[in-house]
Amino acid sequence: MENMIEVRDLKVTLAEKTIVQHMDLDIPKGRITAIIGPNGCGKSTTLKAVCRINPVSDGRILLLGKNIWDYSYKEFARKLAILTQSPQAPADLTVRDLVSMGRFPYRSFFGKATKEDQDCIDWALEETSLVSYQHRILQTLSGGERQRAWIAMALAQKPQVLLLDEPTTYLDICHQLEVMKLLERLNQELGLTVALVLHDLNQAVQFAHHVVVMKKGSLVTSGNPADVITVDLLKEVFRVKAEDVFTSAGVRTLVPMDLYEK
Amino acid sequence: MAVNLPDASEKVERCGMERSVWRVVMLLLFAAMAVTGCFLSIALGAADISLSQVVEILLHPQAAPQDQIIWNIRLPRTIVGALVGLNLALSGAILQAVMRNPLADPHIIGISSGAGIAGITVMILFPALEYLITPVAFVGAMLAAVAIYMLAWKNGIKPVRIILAGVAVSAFLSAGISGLLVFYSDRVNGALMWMVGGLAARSWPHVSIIVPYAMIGLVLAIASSHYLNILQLGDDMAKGLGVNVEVTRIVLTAIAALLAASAVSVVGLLGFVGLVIPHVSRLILGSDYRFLIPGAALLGIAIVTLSDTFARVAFAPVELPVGIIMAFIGAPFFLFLLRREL
Repeated sequence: MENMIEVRDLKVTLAEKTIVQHMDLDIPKGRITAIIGPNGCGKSTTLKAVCRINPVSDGRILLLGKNIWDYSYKEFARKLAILTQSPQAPADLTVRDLVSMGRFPYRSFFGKATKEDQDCIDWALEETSLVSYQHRILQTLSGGERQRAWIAMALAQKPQVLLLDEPTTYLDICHQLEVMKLLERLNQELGLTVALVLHDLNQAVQFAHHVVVMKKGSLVTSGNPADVITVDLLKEVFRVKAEDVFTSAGVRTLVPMDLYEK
Repeated sequence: MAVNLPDASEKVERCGMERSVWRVVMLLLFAAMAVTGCFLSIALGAADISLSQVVEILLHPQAAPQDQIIWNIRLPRTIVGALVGLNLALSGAILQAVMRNPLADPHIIGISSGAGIAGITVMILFPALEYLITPVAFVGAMLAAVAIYMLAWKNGIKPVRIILAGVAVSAFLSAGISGLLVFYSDRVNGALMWMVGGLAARSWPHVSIIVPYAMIGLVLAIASSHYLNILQLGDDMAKGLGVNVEVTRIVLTAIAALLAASAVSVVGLLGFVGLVIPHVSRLILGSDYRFLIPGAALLGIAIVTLSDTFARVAFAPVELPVGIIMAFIGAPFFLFLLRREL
């Protein structure tokens, strides 16, 4: 399987504190990859290093076989889009204005928005079912709709890979599924490579093709979600006593029962 | 904290078409205000010249004393006032986006004091080099900006720390300026006027100092408007969209410093224009910098020319420095923003 992104022996030090060390990560092309792990284990830090927001102290990160720092700023943004956790926007920004910012990496300094930009914005709004919301103010939308608008902005970048930092946190169960379903559809229909930080392990099993488990700043294991996410893993990584439960359709679900002593 | 105005969303909850019509109408209104401000500033003053005479003199200049008053006293002063308003308003609008801080303004965060101390040093100690005053003031403004960034930097930039660092830098540099003015009081005409920012006796030489910088600054500010828009999404999202945030921030700060420095070079430490005008523009036009920049430019022209006219005419024969009027409007406005945003 070909990799969109390869991280080898990554070390990230922020404010003189080493947060990620000896971290390896593969994000396979055309697949959905979930990154899981306890709070503070360096999931977001790793993701932000991959998209050049965090500086890298050591190790290397390749995007399509090329060192991420060898791309120009705009070239990189045309290949990779990032959606950070709870991003901010001006209070009066409309959905369409937000999505149009996704075209920034295609604009020259004095350039105006072209027909192609407009078409691409329309397409991104359609893909995320936001056409009828495009002139609404972003902050008046519900959490799920707002998250879709940010995803539409990322789509307008026409990236090959989309990274998302906890896109379902703070959403109710319906909107969580809506976002996950949308990402699944974008992956299937457009062949978009998706990598996201998730907290819900059952969602990781349900939607991801590949899972990466982190603990204390480095890799624990990775592989097929159904094989990796087990009762033993929950004990090892999260200190949680869990049980396998099977639905009537035979789908395995992990149910957390109790905590192990420290 | 972003440059957010919470209730702007209620006000501008309109559909796309209506909203752009509203913005264009408002921009035209601002333009009309700017023209009115400039005209009143030319037309009103100690010498009683009727409006029709003013128009006649502007269209067909002759050698009469009244023509001298209009062409050599009032018109250059109006142009200086208009461009100072434009420069400070744009400088504030840019700084508010770059520092992600609704209270940023060249005066409050000390950039003006940096320009001021550099400018006044040239004026007092090297009067022969007066033509260098704006470049030197620009260097002073940039050094002050760098000092404020460095003092405020601690795992990233926090709005409150920038304001506090700016107040400290500003107080320090202002003390230096006051010291120079006291020691060399014989060499500076109207030191008080200069400390609060005034347009008295500004004439054609001052126009030629500020015009090139105002033009360059205006073009650069308009060209940077989509960068300013994206910076409002925060550093991380801006990087994700392909903006070199560090370099962009330095370049935009330099543009803001240049605009402020050229204004300070001709009128001294005129405060609050850079704070109030961009906010009023944002309240009315919204936070899209493609509209906010021209809006702030036009409002800056309007407010400074109108305030200066008021300062000249209202208490005649006493003439107030326009900075006093701006402070009377601006200080309460600053407190209003402080309560609402921090």
